[in-house]
Amino acid sequence: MLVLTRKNGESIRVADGIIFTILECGNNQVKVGISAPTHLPIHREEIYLRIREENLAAAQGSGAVQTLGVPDSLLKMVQAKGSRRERKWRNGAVTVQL
Amino acid sequence: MGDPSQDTSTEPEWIEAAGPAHFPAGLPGFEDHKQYMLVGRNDMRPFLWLRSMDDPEVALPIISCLLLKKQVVPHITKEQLSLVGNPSPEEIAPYYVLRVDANEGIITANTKAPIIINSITKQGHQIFMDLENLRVDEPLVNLVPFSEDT
Repeated sequence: MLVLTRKNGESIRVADGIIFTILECGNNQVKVGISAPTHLPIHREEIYLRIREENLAAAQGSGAVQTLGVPDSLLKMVQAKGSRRERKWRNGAVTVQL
Repeated sequence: MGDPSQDTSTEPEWIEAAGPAHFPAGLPGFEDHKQYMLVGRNDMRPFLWLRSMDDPEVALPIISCLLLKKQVVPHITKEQLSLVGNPSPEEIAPYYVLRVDANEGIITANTKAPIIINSITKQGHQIFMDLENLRVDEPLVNLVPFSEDT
């Protein structure tokens, strides 16, 4: 791991267009400003790992959704209120036939 | 789960609902998977599956946020919209990823990290919502509207 020492207000540039700036440092935490192209997702590491874990578990348990079936409350919703909202969705550019 | 659309049993037919959608950044946990199809089954409405075209074994169960409480579209930032080509609110197709606790028989929805798809360009991204009242494991039953006014 590359280790660099920076003071408040100083920056680190990564490649073309990614800049980390130390905005505030103290009280056992550092506030970092990040300037990067919008197509690059930036996340707090612990949150990213939690979402990653959830996605992996969702994919792993995907078959269990079929086994468990659709809860009654959702079925009723689809038959009643849901149908209205789904029509709205069908009128969009993407056609959902379900 | 295997590829839901490859199911050869006598179960109801899998239907391609929409797609392909392109996820330039992939999804957390599946960063190398960039292309997905939305598939579903009539008997499993309103559930859908986001099936990877890069690996048919990967399929995430999802549900449209539009059907549920806790709407995400009003809270999506400009920066997040730019990740999918700056669609208008009406052009955003938002979904929650579902997870099943097989032992407890509980389905939870990840309201903290909805998937948004630009219905025009079919660009997709899983965004992280920076709101306190959202959870990665919200019981789905809590999100079902019970009246026309909710």
